[in-house]
Amino acid sequence: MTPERVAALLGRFPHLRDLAAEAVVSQARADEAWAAKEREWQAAAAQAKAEGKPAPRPLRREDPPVHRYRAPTFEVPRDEIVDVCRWLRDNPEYDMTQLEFVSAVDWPDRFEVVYLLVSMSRGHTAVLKAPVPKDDPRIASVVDVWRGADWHEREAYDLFGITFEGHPDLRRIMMSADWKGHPLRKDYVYEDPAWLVEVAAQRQREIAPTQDGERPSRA
Amino acid sequence: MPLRTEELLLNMGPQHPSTHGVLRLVLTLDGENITDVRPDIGYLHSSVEKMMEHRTYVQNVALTDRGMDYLIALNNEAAYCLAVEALAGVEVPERARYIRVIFQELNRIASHLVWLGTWGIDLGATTVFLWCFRERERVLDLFEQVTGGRLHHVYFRIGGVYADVPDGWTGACRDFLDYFLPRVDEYHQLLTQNPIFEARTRGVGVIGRREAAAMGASGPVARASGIAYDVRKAAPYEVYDRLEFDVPVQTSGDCLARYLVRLEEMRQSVRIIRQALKDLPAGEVRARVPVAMKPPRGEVYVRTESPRGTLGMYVVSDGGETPYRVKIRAPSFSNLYALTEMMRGWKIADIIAILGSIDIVLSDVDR
Amino acid sequence: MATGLPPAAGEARSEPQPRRTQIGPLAEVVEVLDSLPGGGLILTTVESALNWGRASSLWPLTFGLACCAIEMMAAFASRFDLDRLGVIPRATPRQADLMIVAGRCSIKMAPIVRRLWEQMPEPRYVISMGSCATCGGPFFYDNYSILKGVDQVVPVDVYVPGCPPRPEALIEGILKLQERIKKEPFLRRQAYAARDGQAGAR
Ligand code: SF4
Repeated sequence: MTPERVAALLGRFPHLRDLAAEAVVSQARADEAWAAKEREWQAAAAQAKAEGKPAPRPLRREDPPVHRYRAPTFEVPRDEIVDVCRWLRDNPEYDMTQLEFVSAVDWPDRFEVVYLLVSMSRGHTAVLKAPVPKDDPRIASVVDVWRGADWHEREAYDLFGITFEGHPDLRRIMMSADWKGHPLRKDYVYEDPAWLVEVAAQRQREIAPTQDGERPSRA
Repeated sequence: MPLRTEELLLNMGPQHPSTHGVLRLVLTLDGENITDVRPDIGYLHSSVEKMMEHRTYVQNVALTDRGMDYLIALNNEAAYCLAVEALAGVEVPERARYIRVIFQELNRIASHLVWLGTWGIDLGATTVFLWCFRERERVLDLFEQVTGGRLHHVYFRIGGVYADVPDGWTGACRDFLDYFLPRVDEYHQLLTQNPIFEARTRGVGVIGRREAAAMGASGPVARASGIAYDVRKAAPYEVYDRLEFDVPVQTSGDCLARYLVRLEEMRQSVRIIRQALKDLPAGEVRARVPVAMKPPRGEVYVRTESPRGTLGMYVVSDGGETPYRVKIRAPSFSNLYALTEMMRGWKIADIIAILGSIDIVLSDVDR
Repeated sequence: MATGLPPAAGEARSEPQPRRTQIGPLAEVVEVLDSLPGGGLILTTVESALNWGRASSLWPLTFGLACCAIEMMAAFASRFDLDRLGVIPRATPRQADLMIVAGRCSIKMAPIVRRLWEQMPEPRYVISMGSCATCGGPFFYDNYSILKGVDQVVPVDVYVPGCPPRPEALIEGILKLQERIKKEPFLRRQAYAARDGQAGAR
């Protein structure tokens, strides 16, 4: 997306945060801090050399705690998501005709619902992220904007347990209807379903050796 | 006396010879006519996304072969490697990029051949199946000489490819292309001019441009509906911007259009491979990448054009040795959703033609 | 036969029916033959002829689960041509006597695999093709949806290792199964089981 379009989007929806730009800023800040540190070290080293003392320990750069983005990424408050999506789709300047996927990321403190929008005519993409709290994972559904969101939202519901309000048919899609838990959450622990344990045990009994030590040939 | 009619619920699959795997369709029928279709998926859900969170970046290449679309292992590997390379800022040597393009296009041919063969069987043309698999075996031989595998290769690595192609391989590849191009004409002779085939596919399972876009369809399905969109052109990756090829587009949006698009794509793939073989530069094939690589924090979304549509890889790193989250944007998943629109109003006998024409792989749908 | 499996979605499970064996007349034949001096010998010969017939016309159920199914298809296609071994795929379990579980089987799919196996007429055989069907293979660890070995739900006769096994490997597996079928005292066991009033040999 061109900077003008980004600016227009942010102008229309003031609550949006341009994460990519923020990341650039904090990266620059981290770089600056690092450069200052390095300069300090060089000065110290030069001084030590002049005084004939051993040079101070070289510095090791740690990864700055900056989450970097390689596509225009916006954080959207969850109650604005449908408006933003509809605006991006209907505005011919953006023309986001396709929703590539809806999914989620399970961060320690929140879920982030991720929307990936693509414009086939303009050739740009945008990532929308809507944080939802862990104890209340709800967000409005965008099925009315793109029909294709239907299954993607069902998948996010199935695997992350995020409820998409207004979805016409929010059921599990990957796991069977009686599955317990939401597997892609970080705190999910797998357990064999009860029926499987039973069936496997039954099979074990069937192929157990008989008294004379022989295995039944057609188990 | 008015005739009393009732809707019939028909269950097709998960074991059905023409669902190409484990797909279950719940059809609502009014007599012979389909009023509604609800695909039931997830019978092959293999939790790759979860598994990838527990394996290192390098190990995950092997999972992309198996857990995702198994017919196009190399395209999956390419998408994943591109994503991690972008995340970690790895430069891939020129030669490796060309080799990757050659292999992706060969894989596209192999995948389309499987599709054509199985669809042929569905429509009652067994010859096509045997012919397509004859050609496909030759592609697999080419793969085997280089990667050692027929289906699962683990050939692309982060930072390039595992090893250079052996001596004489490029010659063998050219021979294959010379052999293969006339075969595409044979398929045309066999099917396109066949009145039965035409009757079963022309005008059947139409999906319009607008619906296709809104439902998330991509790849040949979208292009058959008049959406001239190909990621290789729109957002070129590897060296596709240096190669010349056309993007076949049809406007009718029916099964025949999807078939024609794919056949033409095979020809274009041959064209791409020929150019890539000609321009293949000398040099290294693999950049140095630490085995326990730790890409910096951040996230990346890479889109590639797989034989089935837009294959996306969304990789989030938290600076650790394993990805924090991998989301695979599978083309078949969205294309299968478009099926609900395509099938409405058609007769029960058309199900198989329509289902086959969108070319789904259930492992791609369910992951 | 109660299997403890939940009903597949959208269907009600019918009550398990007692299995009836269809070989009543055979049991009589066996009894008559066995009462004759040297009758056992005749029976063995008849049996090996029957076994030869069974082994040479194995009809597998066309039923692919994952990647391995593509190699299975390749085995049926031009280069490898399984038809020459008398292996002809059937689309319905009622006509099949071999089930090739080709590929990973998810927990959601497991009850269906089991049901398909139950629908096959006896004698029935199962080949587990690929490491996934055998033990979970590459999907063993950190996985929440794949069954770790299809032998947890159906009895397996031949395991074919590999990921995926080459078509040659599958052919080898089928040859092994044929060898086994040729040696099997199936008829005799069935007959005795029927005579003893048991519900068929399983
Ligand atoms: S064994 Fe390998 S090839 Fe076969 S289904 Fe499993 S992953 Fe796929």
